[in-house]
Amino acid sequence: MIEMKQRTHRSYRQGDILLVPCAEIPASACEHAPENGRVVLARGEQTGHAHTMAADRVRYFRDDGSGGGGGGFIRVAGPGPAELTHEEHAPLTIPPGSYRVVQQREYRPREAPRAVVD
Amino acid sequence: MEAGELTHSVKTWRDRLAGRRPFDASAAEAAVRRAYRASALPEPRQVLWVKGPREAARAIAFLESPPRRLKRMALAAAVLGAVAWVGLALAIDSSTLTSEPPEAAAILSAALAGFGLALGGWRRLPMPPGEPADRRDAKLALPGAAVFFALAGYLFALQRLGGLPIDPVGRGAVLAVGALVGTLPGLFLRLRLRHAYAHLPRALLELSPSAPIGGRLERTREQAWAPFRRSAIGRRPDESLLEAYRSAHWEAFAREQVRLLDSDRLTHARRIASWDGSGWIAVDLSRNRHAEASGGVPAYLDGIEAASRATAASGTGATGSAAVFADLAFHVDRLYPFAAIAVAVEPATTVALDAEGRPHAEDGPALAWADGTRIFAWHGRLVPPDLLDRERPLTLARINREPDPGRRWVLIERYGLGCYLLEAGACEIHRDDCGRLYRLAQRPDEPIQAVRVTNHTPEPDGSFREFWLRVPPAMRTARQAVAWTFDLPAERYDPAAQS
Repeated sequence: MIEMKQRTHRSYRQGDILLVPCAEIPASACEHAPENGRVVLARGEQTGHAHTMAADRVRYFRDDGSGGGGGGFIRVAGPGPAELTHEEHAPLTIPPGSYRVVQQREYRPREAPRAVVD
Repeated sequence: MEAGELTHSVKTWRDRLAGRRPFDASAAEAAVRRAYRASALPEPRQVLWVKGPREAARAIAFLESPPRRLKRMALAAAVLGAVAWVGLALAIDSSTLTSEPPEAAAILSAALAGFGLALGGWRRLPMPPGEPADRRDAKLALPGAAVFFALAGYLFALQRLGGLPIDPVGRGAVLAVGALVGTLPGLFLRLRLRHAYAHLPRALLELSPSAPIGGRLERTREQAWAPFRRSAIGRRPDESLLEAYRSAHWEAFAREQVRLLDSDRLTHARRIASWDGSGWIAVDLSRNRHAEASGGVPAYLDGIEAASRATAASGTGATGSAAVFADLAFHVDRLYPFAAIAVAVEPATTVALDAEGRPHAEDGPALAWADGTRIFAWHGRLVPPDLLDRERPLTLARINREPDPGRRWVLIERYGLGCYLLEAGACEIHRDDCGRLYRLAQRPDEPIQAVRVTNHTPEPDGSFREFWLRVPPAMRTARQAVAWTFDLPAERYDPAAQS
C-alpha cells in the first residue's frame, strides 16, 4: 500500500530507509559506482535484499562524516521521477532532486544506536 | 605484475566475510608470498597453515622455542651442570661444609638437586599445530626422581665422607663421577626432546627463531593504501565482527600465556606482529599486558575494491602493492610473518551473521574454526554459550533474574521484545498514526520504551507485519519515537509517501 500526501518537505520512506530532501550534497562525499546498472542505497548483508534505483538517472554518494553530514546521498536527475524498489516493499516514485538517505535505527542503552535492516 | 588478477568485487568480499567463499590454499599462499615480495623481503621458506586461533597460539609458542633452540639449551645445561657439580665437590673438599650438621648438607643438596630436576623435568614442551600435546609428565616421574637422587646423593655422600680422596687417581675418579652426575639434568632434557620431537619434519626440527617482520609489511601496506583511505570508510565490516575475530585470537593466546601488545609498541623488540586485515596485533613475550592493536585502516569492501580497480587500470607500483595487501586480507584471516616462516590462519569454518553483518547465531557459535575455537554472539554482542543454550527454558522469571543489563537484553530479544513487554505489563503511553508507544520500568536500569509500528506493505496473505523498535526513554509520542529512529525531530517526520 502506498500513501501519497502533498507536503512542503517531501520525504519518502521505504521500510527502513527514509529519503529526506537536501539543498545540496556535501562536496566531501564520494560517488559510488552502481552495481549491474543499479544504485544500491542499502542492503541486508545476509538476505541480500536491497533498496535500489536504476542508475541511468540516479547517482549515489557517501560522505565519511568528517564535515558533520555523514551518510548516503542520492541525486535524481530530471525530467521525470525515478523508481525506488525493494524485494519486500512496494516501489516508490522519487521526484528529481537531492536527498539524504537515512537508515532507520534502534536505541541501545550505553551503546551507539543500532541500524535496522530489512 | 599479477595484480590485475587480484581484483575482488564488493560482492565477493561480502561473501568472504559471511563465510560463503571456499578456502583456496594455493591462492592464499601465493598472496602471502606476494606480500613479502611487495615489501622487498625474500619469500618465507615455509608458509605454516594453522586451522584457527588456538593452533596459531601453539604455533607461535613453538616458534619462540623451537627444538633447535631447546637442544642448545640442553647442551648448555649439561656443560654447566658438570662444571657446577665438580665445583661443588671441590668446595666441599676445601671448605667448612664438611663441618656443618647433616640437616644443612641435606637441605643444600636437595635445593641444588631440585634446581637440576626443574630444568630436566620441563613441565610442558611447546609443540607445533597438528602434533599431539606433550603428555609425558607421568612417565617422567621415575627418571626425574633418579636424577634427583643422583645429584643430591653425590653431594651428600661427599660431605659425609669428609671430602675427596687424598690419592690423585681416586680424587680424579670422584671428580669425573661428579661431572657425569652434573650432566644428568641436561642429558635428561635432551632425551626428552628427542622423544617429544621424534616425529617432526626436518624443516620444523631445524627451525631457528628469526626476527618477526610484521612492522615492515605494515609500513608497506600503509603507504600503499594511503590513497584509498577515504574510500575505505564507506562500507566496512561491522565493528562487532572485527571484535569477534580479535576476541577469538586473544582468548587463544591467553591460553598459551603469550602476551599481546598494542600497536604503539610495534617498534619494540621481542614481539611478533600479526595482521588481521584491519589492524595489527603484536604478541609480546616479555610483558604482561593484553591490549588491542589500533590505527588500522578499515580494510574491506569499497576501499579494497577501489584499490583493486585502480591497480588494474594503472599497474603502478603503489596501487599494485595495495591490491597485493587487499588480496592477502581476502585469503588469510590472520598472518604472523617471520623472516623464514609465515604462520597463516585459515578462515573460520562457521560464520553466522545477522542482516547487518554482525556475528549472530541463535543456537550455536557465530564463529568457529576447525581447531575448536568458538565465539558465541547475539547481534554483535559477544556472550557466554550458556546464554544461548536452548536446553535452558527461557521465562520471564529468568529474564528478570539476570542482573547484567546487556545479557538481560539478549534474553529479552530471544524472548521477543513485543511479547516480553506485553507479558511483563508494559503500559501504552501514547498512540497516533505513526504507531503505539510502550514503556516498562526496569529497576535499577533505565526503563524500556518501544514503539510498535505496522509495515505499510501487506504480506502475501494480506496481513500487515508489526515491528517493535526500542527508542530512548525520553520519547513522549509515537511520532517523536518513529522520527527518532530516522534521526529527525518529530515535526520534520511526515513522509509524502511510504511503502
